[in-house]
Amino acid sequence: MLRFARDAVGILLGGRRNFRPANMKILGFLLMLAGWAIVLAAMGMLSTEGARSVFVAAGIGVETTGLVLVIRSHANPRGLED
Amino acid sequence: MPLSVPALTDAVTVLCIALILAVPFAIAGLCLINTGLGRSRSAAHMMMCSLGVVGIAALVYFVIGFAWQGYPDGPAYYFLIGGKPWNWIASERFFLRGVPLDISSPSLAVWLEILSVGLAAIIPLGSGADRWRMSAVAFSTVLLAGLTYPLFAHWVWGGGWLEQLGENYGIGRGFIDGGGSSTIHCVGGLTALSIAWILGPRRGKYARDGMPTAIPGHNAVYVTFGCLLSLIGWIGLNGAGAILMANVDAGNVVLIAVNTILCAVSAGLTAAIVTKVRFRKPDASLSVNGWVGGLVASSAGCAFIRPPEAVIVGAVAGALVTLSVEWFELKLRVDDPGGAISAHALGGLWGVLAVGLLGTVGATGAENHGQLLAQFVGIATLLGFVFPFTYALNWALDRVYRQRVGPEGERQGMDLYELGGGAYPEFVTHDEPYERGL
Repeated sequence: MLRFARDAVGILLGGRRNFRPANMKILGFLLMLAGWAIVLAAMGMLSTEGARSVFVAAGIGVETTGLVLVIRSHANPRGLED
Repeated sequence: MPLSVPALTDAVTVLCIALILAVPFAIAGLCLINTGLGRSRSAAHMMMCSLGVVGIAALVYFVIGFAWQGYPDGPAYYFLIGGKPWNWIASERFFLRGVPLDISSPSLAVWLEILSVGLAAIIPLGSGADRWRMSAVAFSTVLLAGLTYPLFAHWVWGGGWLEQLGENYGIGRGFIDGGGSSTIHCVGGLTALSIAWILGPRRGKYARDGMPTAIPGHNAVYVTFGCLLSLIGWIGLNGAGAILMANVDAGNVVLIAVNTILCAVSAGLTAAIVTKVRFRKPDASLSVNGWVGGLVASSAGCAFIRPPEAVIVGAVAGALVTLSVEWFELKLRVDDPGGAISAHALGGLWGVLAVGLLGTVGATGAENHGQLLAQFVGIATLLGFVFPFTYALNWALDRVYRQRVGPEGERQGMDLYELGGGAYPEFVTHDEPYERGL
């Protein structure tokens, strides 16, 4: 858990290069879920369309960041190791 | 979006039946495309898997899938956020008990859905070709048809919270997807991406330095004929889906058919032109992927756009699919023999977005502006929930039951290894690569 947290901070700040791909993948998927949660929160808690639009855009931005991490975690696919 | 089950006249009922009867052509078309784009030594395996997947998906959907998808006005579970009901899953009875299987609108929807879930389930076969074990395909199909598909389809087509965005929060008419760009194709395409990542690339696809090797499909005739079959099926799928799922007036069926055709042909031609410009000759497999991408993109908005806009939607889909196939293969090292990820996931996302950008769903400009926001919420749900969910399910399955065939299976070919005989027994299909151990 501690190692995952250390990797997560390192990945997000960009300063840590020797993180494990599995941790990057988990962090990426967590970010995607967090982005979706932002979108859901915008629907339930905000009332104006402008504010909702901003939060939906932010949520999709967070999801995209997570997707990039998931993509990077698969940069060395299993078949290359065979 | 009115959340009530439409009452159908006799003429509309006959029309819907005729349209649903065409949907199996879409399944047949995708089967041929997936088979033709794979290796000859896995052709029988692919067709056998396709048959099995359609069967398992239909059975699982019959047993539990429809109970969780439901239809508008049916029983469902809600929770309240800010005093607004969020309908998140249906609570129908298992085994289709309680569903009147007559010619009513819900029963026609059940018929269409049993075919649609099969269509969604064969999409990942394209990305897992030549290395996905048949038994693992079956288990993965159970997860898709029993969990992923019904849950998201309930949100979009079953009176769920995405469909209710318009009623609850005044956001356009709620998330709109008439023919299944998101519910069928994005769900299938995102599962295809998960499968491609979990399985890894085929042996010999990438060198150790990451450079890809071309492994062309074995039968361009299957592939192109599959395109034409798919067109028939998509007209039925889009027409029946728009009438039964999006409450579109049946008088729009000609518009829907014309838009579907225009999307497909403009996407196919754009893909041919793009490949001609890039490679000096039009590429058959990429053009086919573009054609399918155009069909996929047409599904969401075929009843809400005009023909000139359909041409634009198709052209963008054709270019997007063609360029992204190369991007996935070269940059991301995703081995997707059937192009399923580009054609179905990206084509579907573009189709959903196009409804908000180009569609006319309301009488006022404000309604149309709100529609774009509703479509973005749907896209955020696909990326933020459906993709992690389907990845997690298939990853967990891979942990308890390895999905990729062993090296011997890849060397022999899936036909010999899993079926004991090939699709083309009169031809030697794997002499040199087999000897070289590729």
